[in-house]
Amino acid sequence: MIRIGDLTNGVTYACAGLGFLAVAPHVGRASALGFWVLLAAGAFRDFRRAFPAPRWVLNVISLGVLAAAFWRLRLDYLVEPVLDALLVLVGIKLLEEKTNRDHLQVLALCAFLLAGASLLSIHISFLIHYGMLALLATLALVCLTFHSRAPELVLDRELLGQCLVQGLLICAFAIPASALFFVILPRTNTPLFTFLNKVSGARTGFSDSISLGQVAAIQEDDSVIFRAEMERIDDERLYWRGIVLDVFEGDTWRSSRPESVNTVRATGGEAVQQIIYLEPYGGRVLFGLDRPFSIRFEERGVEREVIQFRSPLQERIRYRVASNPRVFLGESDAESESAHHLDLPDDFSWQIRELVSTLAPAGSRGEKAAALFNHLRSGAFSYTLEDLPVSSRPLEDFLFVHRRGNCEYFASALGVMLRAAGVPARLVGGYRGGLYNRSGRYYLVQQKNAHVWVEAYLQGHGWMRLDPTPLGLDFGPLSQAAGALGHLRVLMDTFNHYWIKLVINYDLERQFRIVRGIREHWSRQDFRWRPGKMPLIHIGVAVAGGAVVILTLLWAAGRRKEPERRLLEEFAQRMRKRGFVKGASEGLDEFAAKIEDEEVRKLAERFAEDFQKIYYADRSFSDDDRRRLRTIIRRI
Amino acid sequence: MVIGFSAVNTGNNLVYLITSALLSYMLVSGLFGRNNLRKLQVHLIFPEEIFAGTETLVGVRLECRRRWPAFLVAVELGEAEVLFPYVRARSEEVRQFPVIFSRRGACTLPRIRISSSFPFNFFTRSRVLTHQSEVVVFPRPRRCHPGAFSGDPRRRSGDVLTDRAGYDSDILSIRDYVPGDPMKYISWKSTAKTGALKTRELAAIEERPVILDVDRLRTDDLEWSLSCATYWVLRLLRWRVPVGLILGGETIGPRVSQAHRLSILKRLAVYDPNR
Repeated sequence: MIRIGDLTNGVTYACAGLGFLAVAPHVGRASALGFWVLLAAGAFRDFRRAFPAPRWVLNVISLGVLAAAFWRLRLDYLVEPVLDALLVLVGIKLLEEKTNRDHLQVLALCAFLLAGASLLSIHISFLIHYGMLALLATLALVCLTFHSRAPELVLDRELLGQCLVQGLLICAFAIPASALFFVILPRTNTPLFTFLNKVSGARTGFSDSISLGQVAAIQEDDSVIFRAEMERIDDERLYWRGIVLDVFEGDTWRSSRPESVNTVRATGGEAVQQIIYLEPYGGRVLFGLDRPFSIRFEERGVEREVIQFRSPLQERIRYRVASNPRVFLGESDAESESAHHLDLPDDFSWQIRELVSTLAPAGSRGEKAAALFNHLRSGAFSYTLEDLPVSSRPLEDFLFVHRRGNCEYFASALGVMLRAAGVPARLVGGYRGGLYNRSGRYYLVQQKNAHVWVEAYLQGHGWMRLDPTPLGLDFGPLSQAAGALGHLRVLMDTFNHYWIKLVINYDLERQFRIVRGIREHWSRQDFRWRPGKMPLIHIGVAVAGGAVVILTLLWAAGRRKEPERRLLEEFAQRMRKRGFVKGASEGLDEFAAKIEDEEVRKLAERFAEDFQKIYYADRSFSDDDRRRLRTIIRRI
Repeated sequence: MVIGFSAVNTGNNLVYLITSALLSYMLVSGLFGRNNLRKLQVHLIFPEEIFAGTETLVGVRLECRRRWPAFLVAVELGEAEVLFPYVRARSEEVRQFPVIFSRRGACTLPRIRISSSFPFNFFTRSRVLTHQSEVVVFPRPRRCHPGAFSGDPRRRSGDVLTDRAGYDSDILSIRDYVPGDPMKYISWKSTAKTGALKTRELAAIEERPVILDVDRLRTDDLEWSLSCATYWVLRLLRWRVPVGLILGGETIGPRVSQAHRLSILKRLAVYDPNR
């Protein structure tokens, strides 16, 4: 047995706790501490009836909290202070002597907390908080309804169970309704306050230049950079192209004109289509399976070709890529042969030049490239992420002293050696490998997959990819998750992927696409009856739809009122508007006779007489009868 | 409102998700509220005698004729309201509430309205039910001096014996014992003589009948007269004095039965000198 007041308090406190969990990563310690202290004090006060908390004092404190939050506001720091303030306000509300209105305010503040959290993080954990808060808030609202109507009610186990069942049922009905509203609620292409969305900040990792001599922390980062929806392909072909680095300046590689070299014209062959969901990583470069010949991004209903964005990506985007995974792809010879692909600094190392002339003294470009490539892959060099050569001459240290390095060293070394040997060469930055998710049919690519490789230009063939980095532990099994934990991770990522795909990225374009899709699907339909050719699911949907329509019609028919009843209701409604209310058991004559207004009385009596003439003669009301009676009603 | 506004203006789908939830809750609460009032039947249980100006307990029986329970159903009858927090599926609950009818006569009851704010207290849904629409309210009994009547109803000149069996006076006969006869009426003498249990049958005493002639009451206040007559009808019948009534030129002969009592009270209740 539990009193409804105690139950309501308990559920409200649970909602507040959940509201805190939703914003916990984003609020300051002081606010969090304040919230818990207030919550504990409120709970103690409520359940022990311990001490009074004058409302005016709490209101003054609330104003102080709001003023402090306002003071902290900056244009680039809007949401956090507001969340801090909201959290403390929830605590203060909990401390008050709570009326039903206060309980409702706590629930509303919790919804605001959740909404605020969604502006700062789009992680799938939102869905958990959302679902739990929805359930608890439902229970709280049901309890509040009981509390407002019967404050002294004591719930036994049966009634308590029934309240819980009702709460669950409401949630069960609300979920599909929410999904429907989510799909159809109007979107706009020009939201006013997008600056409030500060999703997970920019990530370090991929950059548009390579500076040797720095340990690359990026390769130890497990966070996701993108997901690529596509069919599975050979692991060997999993090179995700990002940026071309064609200028070498001593110990740094950078891009001269990234936009002109990232994609190439299609030269035929089999294209691999991908849909990439790119995380907001803070860069401008788009990625695609090597080598992309088309990157199409849809914005405001228009799909256009893009190479990269003007400003760093701060939100998750989706785009289509078509790639031709052949190793050789043509670019214009003149451009490829241009001198800057052979440029080396004036003070370039004589040691490396000597090494190149020893390894590849003569021969075609292909032979030279093979010789230099084989030197790096001979086994004398090993892959490492630790103890990388950090010096003013990192490449010499790598080639002649340490013989250890990460992909940047291997690729840089091969790139400069190729150039020294007269082979046009450049570096390509991107990602290598990725976990293939069979159920979601996509590759999951993480920051630790970041990679750099080399392209050498061979006459008659075009640019050829050379990856001198030995496959090390950093990539692991390239496209398969290992062990139970790996499988669990892939499973979790499947949820996350669909969360992002279906919820986070839903926008006006999608809405249009759905409407367009339905229309096109409808217009394409061939309605001729060919049972053998109809998929089972179509038949199932048709049967279910038909059943729903028939049941609805039957239900509506059952509810359809008889014409005489409708006429009587119209008459009573009209009379009510004129200020005369007919009693439920009052006869028409009796009612009409009581009316003081003579004009209205005459019309009412006429209606009564005409109506009863037909009704008591057991005649059915013809169209004319109904029209005539309705005319009288209108004149009243 | 605020969250909906923020959803549109931030373009944030998670805020849209919250807005969708709020809208769907409004929709679902409407459906649940509507269902909560379906297949409910209300029966009013009135006492046999209702007197004007006197608090009367009216019983309300709420019958839930469906497969799911009813929550927080308020039954309103005029200004009176009775709340049923929970009624199990396919069962009924009875509650009582006090009502005071201000006037005598045939009283048309206000409509019964059932309402509920379940599941959330945002909206209150209500339905009007059909029900028996009239009860007869007897005049309010007012104590008055017996001298108001031309013949003092208390003035009696002795008891009148009847030939009906009772337990009041002389022996009418001696008969065989019937189980249930009080012990004190067993005739031990006859029992001893015959060897079988015998019971004395005594004659009942009947009070001298009184006829209340309301027409000849010495006052112009009709309501007072009717109230006064009601008082004496109730009082005399409690004494088991046969009461008759002359009202509006109509005479009702004196009797003491319950049916007679109701008939007199009803006559007093609905009397209209203009009809």
